[in-house]
Amino acid sequence: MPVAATPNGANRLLACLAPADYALLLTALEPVDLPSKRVLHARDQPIDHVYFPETAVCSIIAVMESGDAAESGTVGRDGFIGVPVALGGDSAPFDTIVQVPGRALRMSAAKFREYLEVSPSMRSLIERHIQALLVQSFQSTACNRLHPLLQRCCRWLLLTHDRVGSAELLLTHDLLAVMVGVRRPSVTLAVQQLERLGLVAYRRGRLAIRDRKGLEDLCCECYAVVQEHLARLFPPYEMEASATRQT
Amino acid sequence: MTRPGAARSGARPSTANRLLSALPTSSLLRLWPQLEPIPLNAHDVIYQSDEPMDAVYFVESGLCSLMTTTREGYGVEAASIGSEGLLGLPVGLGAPTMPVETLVRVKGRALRLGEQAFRRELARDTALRDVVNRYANALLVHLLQSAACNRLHALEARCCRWLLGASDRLDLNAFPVTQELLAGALGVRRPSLTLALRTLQRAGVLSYRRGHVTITDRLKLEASSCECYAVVRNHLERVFRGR
Repeated sequence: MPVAATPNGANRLLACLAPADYALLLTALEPVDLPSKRVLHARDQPIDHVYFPETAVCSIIAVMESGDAAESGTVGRDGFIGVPVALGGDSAPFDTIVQVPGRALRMSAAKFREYLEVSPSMRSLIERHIQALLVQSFQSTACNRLHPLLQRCCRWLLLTHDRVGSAELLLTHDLLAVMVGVRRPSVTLAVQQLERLGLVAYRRGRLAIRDRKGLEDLCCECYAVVQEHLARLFPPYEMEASATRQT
Repeated sequence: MTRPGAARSGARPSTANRLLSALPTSSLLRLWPQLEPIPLNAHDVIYQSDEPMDAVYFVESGLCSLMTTTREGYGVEAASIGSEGLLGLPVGLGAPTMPVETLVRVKGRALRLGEQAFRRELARDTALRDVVNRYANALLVHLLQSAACNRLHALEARCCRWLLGASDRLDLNAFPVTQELLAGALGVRRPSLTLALRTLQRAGVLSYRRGHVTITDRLKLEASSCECYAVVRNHLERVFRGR
């Protein structure tokens, strides 16, 4: 499957890119299907590819010596996976894994480094993504410490829902447990509670969001803070502008 | 305040900030006349949450803290910054606001550089850009690690992590830190912190008296900390090895 000659709007960073800069990227981008739990970047290992998610949603996960793990950041079609490469590094102490399977475009880390040198518009987009990731990590630091599990589940589901764009998520309890940094039995109880409230329905690894407004009401402020900053960093008109360009 | 050591032309200016120290002499010489030395006083708020940042600060001494505060008014520290770092990194990312408050914990001094000057220098000086990029990467590691640490690690371990970081940044084994401050940074109530400090004191790791902590056994402190201290430190050291 060849990569579209103009951005298809599926990845926000690519959609915001100046047309000439996108044209330069074309030959280096390769479409990939990312299955659930695929490790894109393993901790402390050299990063060989960077990814622009389209429908896939990925997690930056800190895995501790004890084996306990917690998500520190979520990246989907709004962002980019490979920030250390953009900042002159070649590895990170985190695993980046696919949590919601889907499509992405990828390119080699070496080509991406070269490309950054010649594309100021890409550099500025990546900088804004880094800023968004900073905001997310600030908020997670506080939220993980201070907010109850049920609210953290809501935050994660809302952030992921935005990035997937469909009301149904493929999601095991194991995975959700890592996302919110608790053991599986606790997450099972939390999901049951959300079901009783009529906010979600869970069946055989599929979680359907039934009442998005209800999730937002129950959620801590952390979701709104992250989304507000994201909207400020990537004003919606840029998406519209790129969509018009295609037609 | 007069500029320290602005003196002889061509001589490399001396600064305690490690990012500036990692720059080649030519870069440092160009920056130097634009830097304004300012004191950092304990409790000074450098940036309010969500307020535009009009300057960046290369910290030379003291200890600053990026604090996230929730709607209910509880706070927790996302990162602490000392002479290894820079306050106002988002200025370089083109969107100079942050949903955190930046404040001074332990007094010291910093070199201030206006927002426009910082952006101009970043645009034309690749050496500065490289150093700032590597620092951004290290800060991001710090923050992402803290997010997981705050979820997964026990208070005592997090307390040790914080004290090790503060000791490195201040380059001191004994420093002022009130229980209130430490509880706020770690996002716990004060009674829980008092208990944690007492346990550490009994174990011979530190002594705590009237707002002063003294690290009595650094190795024990490291052993009592979670691994997050080492992860963050290792990534920070890469910033300075990179040149």
